[in-house]
Amino acid sequence: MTVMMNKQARFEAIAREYSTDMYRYAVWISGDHALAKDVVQEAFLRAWRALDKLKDEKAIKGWLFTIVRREYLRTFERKVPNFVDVDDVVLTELTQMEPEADSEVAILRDAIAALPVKYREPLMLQVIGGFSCNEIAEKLGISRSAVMTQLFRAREKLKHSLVDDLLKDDNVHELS
Amino acid sequence: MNYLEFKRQLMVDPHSHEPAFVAARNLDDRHRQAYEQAMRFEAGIEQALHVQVPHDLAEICMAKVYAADAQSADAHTTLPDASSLGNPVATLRQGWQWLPAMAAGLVLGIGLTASVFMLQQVGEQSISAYLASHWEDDGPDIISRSVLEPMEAGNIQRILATLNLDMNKDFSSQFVFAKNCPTPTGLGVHLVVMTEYGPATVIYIPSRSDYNAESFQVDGLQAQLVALQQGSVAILGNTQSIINSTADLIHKALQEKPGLDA
Repeated sequence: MTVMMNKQARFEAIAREYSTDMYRYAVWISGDHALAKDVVQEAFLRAWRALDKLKDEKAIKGWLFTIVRREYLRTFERKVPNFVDVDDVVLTELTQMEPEADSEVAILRDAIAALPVKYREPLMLQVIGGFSCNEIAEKLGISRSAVMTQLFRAREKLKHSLVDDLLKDDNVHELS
Repeated sequence: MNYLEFKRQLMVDPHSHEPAFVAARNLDDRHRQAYEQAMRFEAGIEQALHVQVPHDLAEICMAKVYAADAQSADAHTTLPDASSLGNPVATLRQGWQWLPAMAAGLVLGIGLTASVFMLQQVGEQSISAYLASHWEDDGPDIISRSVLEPMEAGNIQRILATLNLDMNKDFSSQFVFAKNCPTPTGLGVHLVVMTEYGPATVIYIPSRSDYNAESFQVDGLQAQLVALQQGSVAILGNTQSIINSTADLIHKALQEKPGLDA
């Protein structure tokens, strides 16, 4: 009984500490709030069942993110794709999130949503998950140098989107 | 670390604790300015990634977990070993543990004829174990990426050609991914195809066309072996409709050129 209570207490502490970041990560890789919620719930179910095997407390976050990612990938096996460009879906879903007063943040949000998956995912793992390039490489099954290149390009694209927007504004001012 | 390296590091990992990078942050005004600018940019990204998290998400997840746990206890089903739940392939492997024992019994009982039978059984076991292990390595990852970013037909054709295979152009739009992969009988091809019911994974196994139309489960998916003229394919899909549709597609679209002896 005490063992079960200890497991419950440990699990609840983990759920409270990591569920927000897991959900953010799931939203940004799936572009869908409802799907993200399902993925996180399934991930916690798997985590609960495997919790006894996890001895290294420092590895918890990485372990949970790996489960979330794996659960998300499994969803591709369960559904017929609708052949809609995923980036369009992400853009629509994510731009419906909290209205943002700061236009720069809003531009960045759109630009992140429009990033190709291969650039977006490492960035999410770094910014939301706080993982190192080596950890990201391990999770994505690619080399460290590929991760570094993708992170560089992701930020480069985000910066360009800010500059493009600035130029667009200048053109509008010039025309008016 | 020179200024260019420093700027590159700011674009790759601006929160890096690498000593050379940390030291460079305060090297001079130019470095300091670049660092501060990068931190403002990072703050913008962090803010942009903010999403509204459902109220009581942690509690909802806990409730779901405990409910599922109680349900499985009520059904008098033993919870699988935690390691195998994290790794569904292990569950699959456990399900095949009786086969070697059965095969050994046959050898002892009826001699040489039975040993041939045993070898056949071991072969059947290894193909399912191979598929489970191969799927676990990168199956889900490949299928999702290929749906998101399909490969060009020309590149798929080039991979198929390495095994003297040809793809009927009428069906090329249904092939979205190909790569060479190891199989029990040598170099094979890992394909992803799209059917009207959803995606399927297809593994081409060369030089083995004697598989029966055997079906089994791999990580919750249905798997079926389909014999071709010179080799075989293993099809993994979520439903029998996907398997049937894929088998039909493979028969129509995948041609083994004569002379292949992989």
